[in-house]
Amino acid sequence: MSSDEENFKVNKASHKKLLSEINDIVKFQHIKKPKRTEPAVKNDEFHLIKTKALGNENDDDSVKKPNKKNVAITALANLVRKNESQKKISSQFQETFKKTKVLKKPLEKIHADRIQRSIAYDSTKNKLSKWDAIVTKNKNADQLKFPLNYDKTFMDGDDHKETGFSKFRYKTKMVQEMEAIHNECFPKDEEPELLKNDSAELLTLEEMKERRKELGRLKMRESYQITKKRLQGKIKSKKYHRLKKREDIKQKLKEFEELKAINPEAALKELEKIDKQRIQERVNLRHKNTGTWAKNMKIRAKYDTNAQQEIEAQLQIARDLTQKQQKESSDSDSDEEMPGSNKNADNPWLNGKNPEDEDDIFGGCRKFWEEKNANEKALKKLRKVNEKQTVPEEPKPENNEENGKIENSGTEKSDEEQSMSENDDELSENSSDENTESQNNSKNGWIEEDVVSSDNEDPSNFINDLFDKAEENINKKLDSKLKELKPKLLTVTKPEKKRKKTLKNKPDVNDPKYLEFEREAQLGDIDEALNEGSDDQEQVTRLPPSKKLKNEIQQLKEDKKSFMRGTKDEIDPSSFLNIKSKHLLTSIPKTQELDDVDEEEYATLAAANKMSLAEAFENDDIINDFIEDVEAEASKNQITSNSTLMGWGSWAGEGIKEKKRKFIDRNPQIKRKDRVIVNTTPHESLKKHLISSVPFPFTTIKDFQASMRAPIGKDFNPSSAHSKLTMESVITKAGTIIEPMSEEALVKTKDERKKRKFMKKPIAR
Amino acid sequence: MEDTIKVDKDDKKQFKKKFSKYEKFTAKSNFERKPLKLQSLDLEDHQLKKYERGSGKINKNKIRTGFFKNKLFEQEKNFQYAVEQAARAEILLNEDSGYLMADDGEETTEFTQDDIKQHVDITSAAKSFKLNLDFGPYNINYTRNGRHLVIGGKKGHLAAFDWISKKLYCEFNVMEEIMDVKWLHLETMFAVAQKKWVHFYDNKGTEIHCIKKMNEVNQLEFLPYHFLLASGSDNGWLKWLDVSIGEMVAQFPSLDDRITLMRHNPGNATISVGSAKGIVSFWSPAVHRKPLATILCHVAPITAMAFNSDGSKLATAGMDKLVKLWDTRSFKEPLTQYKTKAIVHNIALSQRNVMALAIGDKCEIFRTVGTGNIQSIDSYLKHSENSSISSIQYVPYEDILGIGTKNGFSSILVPGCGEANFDTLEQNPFRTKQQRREHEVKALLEKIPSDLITLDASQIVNVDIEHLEEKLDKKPEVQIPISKLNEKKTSKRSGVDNAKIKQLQKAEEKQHLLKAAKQEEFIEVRKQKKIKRNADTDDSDTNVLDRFRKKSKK
Repeated sequence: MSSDEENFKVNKASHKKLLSEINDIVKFQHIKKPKRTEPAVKNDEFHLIKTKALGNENDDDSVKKPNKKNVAITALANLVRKNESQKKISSQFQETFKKTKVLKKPLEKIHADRIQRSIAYDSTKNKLSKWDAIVTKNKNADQLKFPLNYDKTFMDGDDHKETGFSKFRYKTKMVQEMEAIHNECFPKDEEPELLKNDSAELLTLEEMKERRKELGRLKMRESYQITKKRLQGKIKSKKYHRLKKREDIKQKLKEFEELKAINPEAALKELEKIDKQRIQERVNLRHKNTGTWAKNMKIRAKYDTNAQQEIEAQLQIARDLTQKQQKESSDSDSDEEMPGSNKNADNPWLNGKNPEDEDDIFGGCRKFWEEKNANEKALKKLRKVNEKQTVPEEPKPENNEENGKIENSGTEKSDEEQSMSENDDELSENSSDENTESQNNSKNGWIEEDVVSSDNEDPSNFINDLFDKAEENINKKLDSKLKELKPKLLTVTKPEKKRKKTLKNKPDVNDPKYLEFEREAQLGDIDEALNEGSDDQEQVTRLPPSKKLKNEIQQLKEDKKSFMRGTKDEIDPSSFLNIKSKHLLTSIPKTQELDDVDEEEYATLAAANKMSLAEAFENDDIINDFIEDVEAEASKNQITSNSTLMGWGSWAGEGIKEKKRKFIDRNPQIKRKDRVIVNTTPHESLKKHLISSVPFPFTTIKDFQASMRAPIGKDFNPSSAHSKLTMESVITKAGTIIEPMSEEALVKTKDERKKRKFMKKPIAR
Repeated sequence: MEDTIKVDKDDKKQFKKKFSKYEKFTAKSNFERKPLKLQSLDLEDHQLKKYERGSGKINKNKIRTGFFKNKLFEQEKNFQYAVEQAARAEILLNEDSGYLMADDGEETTEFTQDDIKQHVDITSAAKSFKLNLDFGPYNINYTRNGRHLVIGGKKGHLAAFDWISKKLYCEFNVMEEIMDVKWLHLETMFAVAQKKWVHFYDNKGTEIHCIKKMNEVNQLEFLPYHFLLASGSDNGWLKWLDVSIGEMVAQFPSLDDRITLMRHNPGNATISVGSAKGIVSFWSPAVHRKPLATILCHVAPITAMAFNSDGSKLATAGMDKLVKLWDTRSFKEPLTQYKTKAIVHNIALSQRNVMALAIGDKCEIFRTVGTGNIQSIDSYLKHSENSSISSIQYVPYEDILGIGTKNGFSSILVPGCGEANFDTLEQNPFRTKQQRREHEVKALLEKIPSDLITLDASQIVNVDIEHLEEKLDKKPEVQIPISKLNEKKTSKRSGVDNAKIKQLQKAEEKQHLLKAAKQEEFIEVRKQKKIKRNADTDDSDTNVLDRFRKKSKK
């Protein structure tokens, strides 16, 4: 190896020289480079010569490898650039040089043709595929009537309706009565009016579809309105609602005025209704300190003690009102508690102001306060525990973040404490009203929400919430990151998605399977699938068809054998004779008749009598005879061994013909006790008429036989069934020209239909 | 009192008024609001089961191509439709066979023919009659539509007549012993088994044929769908004659030395022979000398045998005083077995499975009672003749039993034995001359070849398994490639043949080569494309001698 390398190194220069020389040889070409003697407009393709061989005249090459002999244009351009007067030309050249592209060598004719052919094939295939659906439909149709009148496929499917004459039928009294009874028994589903109105008209399939689409559009609009309303209700902006309310009120007032003018009584009722609504709203005490008056008072209360008192008085009224209601409710609830409550009633002090009531008012705040403290304590404990525990373990990233969050929240909470102390008195007034709370929150810049406020009694819950929060934060971060990533991803994945969507949403109309019915999965299918999995049928299905058939044949034969065996086992001649017989009380023929019979008859009768005597004795003779017969029959079917020796008892030498088998040993050992001998194999003359292979669409004998099991003749079926079973697959109307199918037969896509309409309209005008 | 009466009257008047009003109202309302009882069109399983054609369900997965899957699915639907239609059409068969019902303390067996005659309409009563004839025990035969009767006395008396109108077609004495008589496919011809040969007569009594190939015949049977006249002779030979072309279809000896009892199964057209050994053997003209089946029915000589109208049941009677009912599809065991007090000489089964047993001079009739598996036969009627009964036959589509006796012929009324609804396309008792002619043509066109006579009539639908197996064994599983085929050189062939073969071979080879070339081309094109792609990516100028360039180490 090393020596080789050395050699290589040594020969480097000479090697290069050699190469260049060889190249020169190769460059030699008999066809000369065309020289332009006259200005030519047309470039003859036969003058195109291998550029490589002629030296790198190609611009592309010249740029990279300026040959010594040939002058490269770029080099010229570079030279020119320096000259200012020609700078423009050089820049122009540069531009064109950048823009232009050298055309690739045209493909050889064979390949080009092939490509063209393949493209043409694909396009025509695509074009023709629109027929696939209707072709498969017609192929599978039970019956085709030519000429096909696909353009007039009415929904009723009634051919007579086109004329309109046959629509009218005289109804006899009987028919009318029958119809009445039918209508009574099976009341018709009322059709939608839209359809009903036009039922007189004849609707083609297309028109029907159009109509359906219109209905769908209406429904969509309706649902759109509904969602719009719902969304409007969800808007949280107060300003919006205020404005809306005002507008509504204005509207209502307008309507009310109008009503007043038209129908004063109704207007009065309306007024009452409005009043009632207002009262109800007022009564529910939502407005005890949110009204403008209360708000003003609150502001004044800082400076004016009277105002404070007034507010308190107002609140007191509210309290009293609520208390009364509570009492009433408790009264109604339980009478047994009365003695306890009486005690309280006795105490006048407790009457005015209940300690419980106080709790009610401040309860919310106090609770909140206590819980906060408790949470703080619990948190501290937890932190301590955490510090202890986290030493051995590796802190997970999530945990870290959570811990950080907890600390943050801790600092926030300390802030809260301060603000709480400041707003203490105000909170006492506020009680638990949501609106005010949210206002306060906004004032103080609290970020913490009411998650912690009333519901959480356990510190553990609080902690859980904290964890949840941490998780949320993580999720948020992830989301934001994802958002950043998404646009990038989308640019990559969008086209695919689109394609998928189109695939999902729009089934390919041209696909022949589009018109096929989707078969619903049934229980039987599952069973079948299971069976296949469990049985060795699966193996069978993989086998080649001939082997499958062989297996089936084997099975059929075994079935037959087992059937025969079954009969053999069951029936023993001696056993069958012991079947109990019923006695029929038949009369005995007159014996006197014997007197006037002839001699012959007498003899037969005597024989009969003898037989009846014989029957009293053993019947074995007949049975044994039959058994012997059976055995002989069975032995015939046994494999016989030929003990004939070639040439024995005949002349030796060439050309001896084999004698018919003379010495045949029947195997007498096997004894069968059958009472019945049945020749089940089809005899030769019948075999002539039997089929000896399974015809095409079938792969198993069983299926073929099943398909042939029912007769289709008139003698075995009702006439309606017979006509159905022997229906012609194609009917051609005599005397009509059957034209090739036109594009009218295709189900139109939407834009195609539009086009057609557009085309039709001007003609109609 | 008066006052009260008045009040009463007023009340009555009022009541009347009210009532009349009410009546009117109710009448109207009845008309309008009559609770409608519509019979449901849904069929129950047991109704359908009667008409089903077996439960051969096609496994769709094993059918090739979706198109045929679809077609067979449709076919299956049509089969089901046919079954449903047949079940629905049952309501059209509104004619039902009545039967005798006894009051308490009475039994139907007590009723004599005279009693029955008195209580039926005149036309029916006229159907019960008696002929006193002197020419020995009579054999009788009715046509398939039950309208015509031929009787043949053993002493040579032969008569054919419309037994309902009592119109005599012909009556004469053949001056020979008559063993059996049978109508052929129409009422214009009948076959008579005489002492030596079988003779054909038309209904005017003219002898049409004398079949000398059928000699010393004891029993005759006619297979209407195959146009075959089967005979069982005294020397134990079975013979089938095709009546439509006048050729013997098959003739061979049976297992017995003498055939005295022979019947045909209307279900599958096999001939069954009852022997003195207690064996019933089934024969087909297609299988020579070998019975389709032999069954040991009785341990004594068989005396009588009868199939029911659809051939699904066989009744046998033997010297052992037993009557057995068999299912002809499987002879595993008799369905039922009855012991009689005397030997039964004749059995007849009607279309409604009413069994008649002839015991000496007595005729006992039994009716099946109950449905399904719990069927039992009940003694229905008893009738006695003056002399011993030689043959009995039920009249199709009539409630009549014909009895041929030693002293004549009598037809008796057996209410409820015949099928009340007849299919006029199949058999019409009231058919005209024109209809008879049409029927003959149709029957001839639909003649079933004798090859198809087997025990299991549905075998014709089956695949010949043995042949198929042979075929499969012969078929080479792996196809031999051409190169190997070329190795075999057939020696003896003409030059032209050889040249042809060579040409063919060459053509084949050429095709192969072309294929290979195409493939190579394809590969090359691919390669070129690859190279091109590489070239596009590679800027360096390629040359033929590039391979000699020093490779840069990577």
